[in-house]
Amino acid sequence: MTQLLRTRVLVIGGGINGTGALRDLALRGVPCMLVEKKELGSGTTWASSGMIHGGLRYLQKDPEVTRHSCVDSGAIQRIAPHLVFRIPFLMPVFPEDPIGPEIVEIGLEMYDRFVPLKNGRPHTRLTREQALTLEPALSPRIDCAFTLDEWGIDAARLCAANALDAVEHGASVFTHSEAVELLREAGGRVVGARVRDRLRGDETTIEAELVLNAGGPWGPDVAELAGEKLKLRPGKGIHLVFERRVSNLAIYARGVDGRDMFTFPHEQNSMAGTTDDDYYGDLDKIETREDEAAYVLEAMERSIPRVRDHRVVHAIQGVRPTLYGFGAYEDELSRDYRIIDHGQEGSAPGIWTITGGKLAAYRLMAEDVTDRLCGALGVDARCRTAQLPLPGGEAPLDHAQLAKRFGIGIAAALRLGFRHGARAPRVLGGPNGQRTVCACEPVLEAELRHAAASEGLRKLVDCPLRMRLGNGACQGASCAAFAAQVLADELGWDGARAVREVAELAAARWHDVAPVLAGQQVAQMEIHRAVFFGMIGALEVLP
Amino acid sequence: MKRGYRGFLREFTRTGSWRAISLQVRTGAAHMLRQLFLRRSGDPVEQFLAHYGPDGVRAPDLAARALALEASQCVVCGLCSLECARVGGAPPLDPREAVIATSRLETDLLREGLAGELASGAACAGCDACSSVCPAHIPIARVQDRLRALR
Amino acid sequence: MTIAVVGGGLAGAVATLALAERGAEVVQIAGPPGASALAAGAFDLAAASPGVPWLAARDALRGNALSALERLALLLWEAPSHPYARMFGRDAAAAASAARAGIAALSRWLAPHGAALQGDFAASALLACSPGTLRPVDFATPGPAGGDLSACAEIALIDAPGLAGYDARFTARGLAAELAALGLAQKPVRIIQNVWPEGLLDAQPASVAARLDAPAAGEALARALRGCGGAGCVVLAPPVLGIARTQALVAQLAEAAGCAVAEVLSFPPYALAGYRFERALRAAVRASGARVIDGRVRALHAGQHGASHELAIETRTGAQQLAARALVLATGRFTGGGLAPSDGEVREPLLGLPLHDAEGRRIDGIPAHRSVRKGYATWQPLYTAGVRVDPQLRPLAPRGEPAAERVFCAGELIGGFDPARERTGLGVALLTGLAAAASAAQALQ
Repeated sequence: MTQLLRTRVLVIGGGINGTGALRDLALRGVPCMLVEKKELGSGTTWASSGMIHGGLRYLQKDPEVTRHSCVDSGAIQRIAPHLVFRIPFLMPVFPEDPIGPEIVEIGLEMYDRFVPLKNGRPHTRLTREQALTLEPALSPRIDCAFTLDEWGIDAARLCAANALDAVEHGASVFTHSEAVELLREAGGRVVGARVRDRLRGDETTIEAELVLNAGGPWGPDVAELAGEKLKLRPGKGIHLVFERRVSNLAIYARGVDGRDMFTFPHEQNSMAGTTDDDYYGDLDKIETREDEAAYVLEAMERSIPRVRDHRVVHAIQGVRPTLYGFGAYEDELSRDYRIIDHGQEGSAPGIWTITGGKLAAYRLMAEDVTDRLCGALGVDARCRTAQLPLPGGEAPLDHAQLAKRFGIGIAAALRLGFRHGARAPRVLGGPNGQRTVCACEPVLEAELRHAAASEGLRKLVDCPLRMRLGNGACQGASCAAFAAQVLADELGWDGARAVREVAELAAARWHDVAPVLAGQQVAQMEIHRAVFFGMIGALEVLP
Repeated sequence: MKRGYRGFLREFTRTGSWRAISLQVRTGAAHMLRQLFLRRSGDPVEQFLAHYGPDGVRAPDLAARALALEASQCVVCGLCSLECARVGGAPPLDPREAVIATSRLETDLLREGLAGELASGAACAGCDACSSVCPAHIPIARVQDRLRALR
Repeated sequence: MTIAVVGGGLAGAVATLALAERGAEVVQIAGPPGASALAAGAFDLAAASPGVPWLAARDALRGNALSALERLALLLWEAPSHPYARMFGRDAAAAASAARAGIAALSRWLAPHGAALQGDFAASALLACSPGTLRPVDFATPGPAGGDLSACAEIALIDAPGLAGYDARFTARGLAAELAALGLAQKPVRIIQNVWPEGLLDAQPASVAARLDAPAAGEALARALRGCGGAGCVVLAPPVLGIARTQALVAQLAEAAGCAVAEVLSFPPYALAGYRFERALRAAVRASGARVIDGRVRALHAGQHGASHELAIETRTGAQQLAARALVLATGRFTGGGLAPSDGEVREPLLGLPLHDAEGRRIDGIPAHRSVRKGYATWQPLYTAGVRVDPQLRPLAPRGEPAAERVFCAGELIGGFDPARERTGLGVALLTGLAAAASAAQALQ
C-alpha cells in the first residue's frame, strides 16, 4: 500500500547542501520535503574536516571568493554560535619549503584584511623559539611559524539543525528513505519520486513541481534516475581521529607529495587529515586503507615528531562530490559548485542538481539554488538564512545554571550546550533523563530520548553522528546496550530489534577502527569484543 | 632576504584575476616597506595568548601534556570508579569522568569560565586507590589535581 | 628455590595458590588488574567451540544439552591450537579429570572468601545479562549465580530508579524477546518497586554495593523484599549486592524473598562481579601465605644453564630485584599487558617470546591492523594471538624448541584461542594455571 504526498520541491539527499536548501526553501514559505537514504549528514558531510574556513587559498585566484567565504563564515557563526568553536592555526615554515616565510606572510597579511568579517584575529609571526613555546611538540627544525585562526563546527549537527529548522517551518524530512524511481510525465518532465523506507519496507509516492538532486557523490546515481548524466570526479578523503587533543592548536603538516594537511582540534579530540584521491569504488562501502593512514601519519610526523605517541582511535572516510575536470591532480580541481537545470542543460525538465562546493560555502550554495528554484516556481521571497538563527542559536546558554537547575554534571551540560545551545533546557525538561548513557562524551538519556522523539532519530548506528554517542575511546562498549534500550522505549522496538541494533553499532565501529588499529586501541577492542560477544548470545546476529 | 622571498615567482604565476594581482602587489609592497623601515613591536607570544585566551587556549605545560598522554590510555573499564566508591570517595568528577575530561574538555571549560566548577565542593582525597586498580597505569590522583587547579 | 609467578589475574592466582599448597616457595608479582577483573561473573570452561555457534543455548533448552565436559571434549577435536588441546591432545578423559580437579581446587580456595563458584558439570544455567539477553553458563560467581532462568516459573526484576547502566524495564523487555527466540514458553516478568531503604540508592552501582556490605543495610533490603518472591520465582537485581559479603547477602535476600535472588550479569564500566572476583583471588593468595609483591616486572633476564632468572620489579615504594629458579608467566593479553603494542607492532615485552595466532601465523613484528579482518563476528588473528606452548606449557621459540629454561606460561598469554568469541578464557586460566604450577614445581626437582 503506498502513501501519496504532494509538495512543491522534493530534495533528494540529506547532507549539508540538501538540508541547507531545505531550510532556505522552508523559510521562504515554499512547501518542501527531503528524503535521505541513510542518516542526515552521514555521507560527505560527516567525513569533512568540520571547519568553516575563510578560503585563504583563493586569495591568489580571486579575493572575492575569499571575501564571500569570510562573510559566510561570519554568518554561520551568527546563526549557530553554539555549534562553532575557534581553532587557532600554527603554520610552521621549514627551511626546505618551496615558499619562503616572507611570501607566506604576505599571503597572511592579505588574509588579515578579510578575517574581521569572520571574527578572526590577525596573524602573528613567531620565531622558532616562540613557536616552540606555544607548541612544544613542534619539530625543532622549523625556520619560523605563523598563526591565524579558523572556526570548527560539528558538521553533522549543523546538518540536523538545518533540517530541524526546516521542519519547524513546515517542511518534512524522511530519513532512511531512498528515492528508487523518479516520476515522469508523458513529456518527460520529472514530477516527483517513489520513495522506499529502508527500515519499514513500505513505499511513498511524493509528487513535486521540482526535484532537487543534492545527492553529493551519489548525485550521478540520482541523476541517472532521470536519464541524465552527471559527471563528477569523486575524491576520497580520510581523517584519523585521536582519543583526545594532540594540541589545542591546529598544526599544518605537509605530505610527502607536498600536499597541505593538518592535525586540528575537533570537538573533544584532534583529527589528522586529509587525503584527496580519485575514487572508483562503492560509495556505500568506503574503507580507509593502510597506505592512506600511513601517508597522513608520516606528514604529521614532520611537523609533530612525536605524533605517533598519541592514541588513534579510529578513522573517518568519505568522498567529495568534486566537479569533473580532466587532466588535473585531485587537489588542483576546482572547489567551485554547479547548479544544473536539467531542463535547460539536459532533457529532464523538473529536476535540478547542486553539486561540488565545500562545507564552508553551504549557505551560499543553498541561497543560490533556492533563488533559482524560487524563480522557476514563481515565488518571490528573500533569503533569510543568514539572519535567522538555527535552532539553539537564539541566545547564549548559561551552562552552570543549566547544570544546577537539572542536577547534571558540568561536563554533560557543556556538551549538551554545544549541540543544542539555547534549547538545551527543552531537551532536559522531560522526566528522569539525567542518567548518563555515554560516559566518553558524555551523553545523557534525555538527549537520546529527545533525538528519538523530536528529531527523527531512527537507528542506534546513527547516534555517533547525532550526538557523538559511541564515538569515544570505548567505541560503544560501555553504552550501546543501554542506549539501544532507551531507543527501544521511544521507538517501540522489541528486545530482538534492540539486540540487532547493538550488533550493528558494534560492527560499524569495528569498520572504522580496524584499518588503523594500533597502540592502546588494541586492548580497548579486546574489551569491546569481550563485552559484545559476552552479552549477545547468537553470534550470527553480529554482521 | 632572497630566501624569505623564495617561491615568489611560483606563487605570482598562479595568481588569477586583476583584483588578486592588485591585492598582492599592494600588500607585498607594504610588507617590504615595513620590513625595511619598521621594528616589530610587541611579543608575538603575548599577542597570540591575548588573541586566543578567551577561547580557552593557554601556553602549554609539559607536565600536563605528559599527563594527558597517560590519561589517553584509558580503556573505560570503570575499575577506578568502583574502587573509589568502595573506599567511600566522592570527588566532584568520579575518577573515570576525570580521566575522560582532562585534555578533552579543558578548553571548553576555560572558554565558558566553568573551570571553577571543578574546584568547588568536596575534593578528591588523593588516596590514589583508583590508580592502584587502573589496568592502563594512569596516575588518576594527579589527573584530579590538575583538573582542580585549572584556570 | 623460589618460583616466581608474574600476574595477579585468575591464572596467576591459581598458579600461586597451587604452588603454595604444595609447600613451594612462591612469590607472586601482581600489578593492577587485567581481564579477570572485568569479567561479567560467568565462568565457562568451553562455552562454544569455533565451528558451533551458540549450540549450547538452543540445545540446552531442547534437552539435547551438551554438558560442559562434552563441550570440552568437542573443543579438543575442533581446535588443535587451543591450549586445552596443547595440554591434553585428544584425551577427553584427562581434560575432564583436570577440569573437575580445577573447579574443586578453586572452590576450596575461594570458599573462605565468599567467592566460590556455583554450578556443576551436568547442566548449564541460563543467566540474564543487564540488557535482558540470556547466556548459558557453566559456573558463576556468587552474585549472579542463583539467577538460573531455565526452569523458573516467573521472573521478578528489582527496579532501581536512577542507577546507571541498569533499568528493570529494559531488562524485562530484553528477556521477553530472548525467551521467545529460544523457544521457551513466555514466563511472566514483573517489576518489584520501592524496595530501596532511604539513602541506599544512587547513580553509581559500586557506591550502592559498598553500602550494602553493612549488615544493617542488607537487613533493611531483606525486610523490603520479604515475600516478594514466590514458588519457582527468580528475583533479579542490579549489580549492587555488596562487594565483600555478596554470598551472605544474597542468601539473606533469598531467604527473605522466599526464592532465588541473583544479580544480572553486567559489563564494564559496571563489572562488579569481576571486580569482586579479583579481590577474592587476592585475598585467597594473601591467606595462603605466599609472598606477594605489589608491582610490575620491568625487566626479566632468563637464566640459562641452570642459573636463576632475574626480575627487576617496580613497586610504589621503589625498585626491587628478585631471583627465581622457575617462572610462571601469567601476564595476560592486551588488557593485562602480557602482550603490548610497541611502535605499532605487537610484542611480548618481558622475554620477547614469538607470538602466533590460532592458525600458526607469526603475529609479533607485524602492525596490529594487518592482523585483523573486516567483519566484526569473523575470527580475528590478532585476538587469538599469544605465546605458543608445549604440553608442559613451556613457551616455544620460532622453530619449536623451548624458548627458555624453567619458564612456563598460563592464562591468556597463551595463544591459539579467542577468549571473547569462544568464551573459554576463564577456563583456560584455571587449567593452565594449575598445569603451569605443576610443571614449575616439577622443574625444580
